[in-house]
Amino acid sequence: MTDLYGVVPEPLAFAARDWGDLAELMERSSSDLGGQGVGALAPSVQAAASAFLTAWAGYAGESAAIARGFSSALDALVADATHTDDAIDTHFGGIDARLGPAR
Amino acid sequence: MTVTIEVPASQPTIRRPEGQPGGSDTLAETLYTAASRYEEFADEADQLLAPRGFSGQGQNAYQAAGGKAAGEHRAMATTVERVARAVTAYADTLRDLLREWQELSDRQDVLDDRRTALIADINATTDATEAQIAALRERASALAADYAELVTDHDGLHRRVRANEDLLRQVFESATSLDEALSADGGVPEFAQQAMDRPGAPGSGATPEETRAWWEDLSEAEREAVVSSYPGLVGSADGLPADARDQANRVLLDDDLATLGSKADDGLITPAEQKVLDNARAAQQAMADADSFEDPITGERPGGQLWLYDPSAFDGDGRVAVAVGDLDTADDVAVFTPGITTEMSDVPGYTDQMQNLYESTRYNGDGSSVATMFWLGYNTPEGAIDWDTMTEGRAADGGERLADAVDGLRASRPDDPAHMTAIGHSYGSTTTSYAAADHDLDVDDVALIGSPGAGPADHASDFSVGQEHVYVGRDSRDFVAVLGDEGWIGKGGLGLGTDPSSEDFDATRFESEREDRGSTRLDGDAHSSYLAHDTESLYNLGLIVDGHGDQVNTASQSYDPWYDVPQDPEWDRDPSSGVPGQSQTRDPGQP
Repeated sequence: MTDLYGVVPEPLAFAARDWGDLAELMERSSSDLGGQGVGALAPSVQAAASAFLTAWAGYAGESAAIARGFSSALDALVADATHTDDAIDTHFGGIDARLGPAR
Repeated sequence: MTVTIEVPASQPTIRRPEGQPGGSDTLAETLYTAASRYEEFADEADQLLAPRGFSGQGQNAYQAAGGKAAGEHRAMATTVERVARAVTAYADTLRDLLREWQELSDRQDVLDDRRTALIADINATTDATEAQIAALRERASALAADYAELVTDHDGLHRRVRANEDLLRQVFESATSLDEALSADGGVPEFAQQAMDRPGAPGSGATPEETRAWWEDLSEAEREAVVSSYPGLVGSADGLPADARDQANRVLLDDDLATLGSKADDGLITPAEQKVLDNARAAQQAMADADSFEDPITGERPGGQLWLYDPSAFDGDGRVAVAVGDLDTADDVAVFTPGITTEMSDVPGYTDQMQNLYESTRYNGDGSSVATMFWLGYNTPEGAIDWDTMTEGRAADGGERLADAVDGLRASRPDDPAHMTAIGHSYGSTTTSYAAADHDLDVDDVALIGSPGAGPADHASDFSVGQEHVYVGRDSRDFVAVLGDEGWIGKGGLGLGTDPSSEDFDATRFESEREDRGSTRLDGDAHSSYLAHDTESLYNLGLIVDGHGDQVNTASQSYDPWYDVPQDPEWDRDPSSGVPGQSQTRDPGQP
């Protein structure tokens, strides 16, 4: 893909993909933390451990959402830029810039 | 006449500490994995902050959002990693407590058997004499005292159980809210922070003696807390008991194995991190070997200790020290310093050699307890043809570090000093020489093996231990050990100082020939065989470590007559292998 008036789509698409991968990893962590039992700990520790794991499963979910947000924003940027480039192409392509009889 | 003998009741009701170490380890692994993911998030966010591809206001907004995400996720990685370490420490302590619980249970079984036997004897006794009654009362009294001691020990066990549980609970509580998760102290209990604020704490610039005093003033709970919350500082703190350092370093080791292992599984590990992970895996293997080693006399396992663990030091070459035996209690302690090209990845092989040294020392020893430590605390040169090798700079720096390490060991046992021996091999012998000649190395004996030269020392009397406590092993076929200067001409800077096996240096040279030696110095592996079983060298080193250097089988010193090339009288002597009193270092029945 060629440059779009200063916007280079490839690195942006790669970045979007990497953020998407990170989102998946954090979703997995959220699931792991949320599903982690505390039965191996002494009873006096279990309540605090459960509260911790519940909170951190939520944080990891938020992190996944943040990563998805970056990924989506970058994908949208590439799409918008491509769309705008196509529109500009159409606009300029429709102009007959010749003079005289050739016009 | 009826006689009353009070038989004590069986007590206490011994309670098993609650919790499962294995399951706790699983929880820790989940947390380490989460930590690695947060770190990956932060790393990736940092990388993605400057994508080639666009500019202007949009990129500014992107960078602002990404920068905030990177910073917050890095803080969260640190916090969850701290919690994971605390869970690891909890599991390790719980293992110790369960072992102790088992011992108390066994003790109670023995006491109960004595009680049953006493009751049976009382019931079987009729028309007892005064002496018989007195004997039965004495048994009852002794039993009561032993039960009382068991009660005290049981109380102590459960005090430590509560402390272990309280600590982990507080760690969880200090890392649960978002503010705590993002804070620089997330996951650190307040009383651990307060302990580290006291004078003498590791990392404060205190002397080993001050650090030891700081440790002595901490409660059991505070000790567990600082090990768990500050393992990096505790694990390398000179002056602290080896057991405390070991606990802290094992927490760090478990952390690296899990966190970096998770990154590797996710395909996001960097080459530098991979090197750290490789070093961690080498240390893991070494510790497994050391922990499973059995004393040749008692058959018991003296255990291993991870005295130093710093896998990313020296551009990834790593720093590590692994002991076979208990450095806190052993009567005889040996510290072995290796030579050029040694890196942390070599630690399993050297740990095997430390087992050989331990075995030889015990097998031919006087019954004293032993610990042998492989110490790689300095940056070894990368090769023989290397500016760092020829300039001795690494040896000089290493010598200072070695002397500091020994000072740390000494400070950790102020009231129970061990007999200590420093053994330096190859370039490590030059390093050891710098420590002994320039930094007042505080050991009792020094042994140099396969030495290319004694660095700054021209004579054995230059060493801090005095001439009569300097020993040298040189295999006549060892091509490295003939590089040192001999005679008035010397060898033109080929080696690293005076040959310590020479008449000029005048140390006690001991027999170190291999039975399967080659006919030239280029045959065989003489330079790397000084700690091989059933060799003359290992036999004599065992005696030195055991504190009986005066009983080594001495060898004639090398010399350099003005009319000829340097001479080694050992060249033509017939060496032995596995001969009692000369080279037998273990039970002949062993493989």
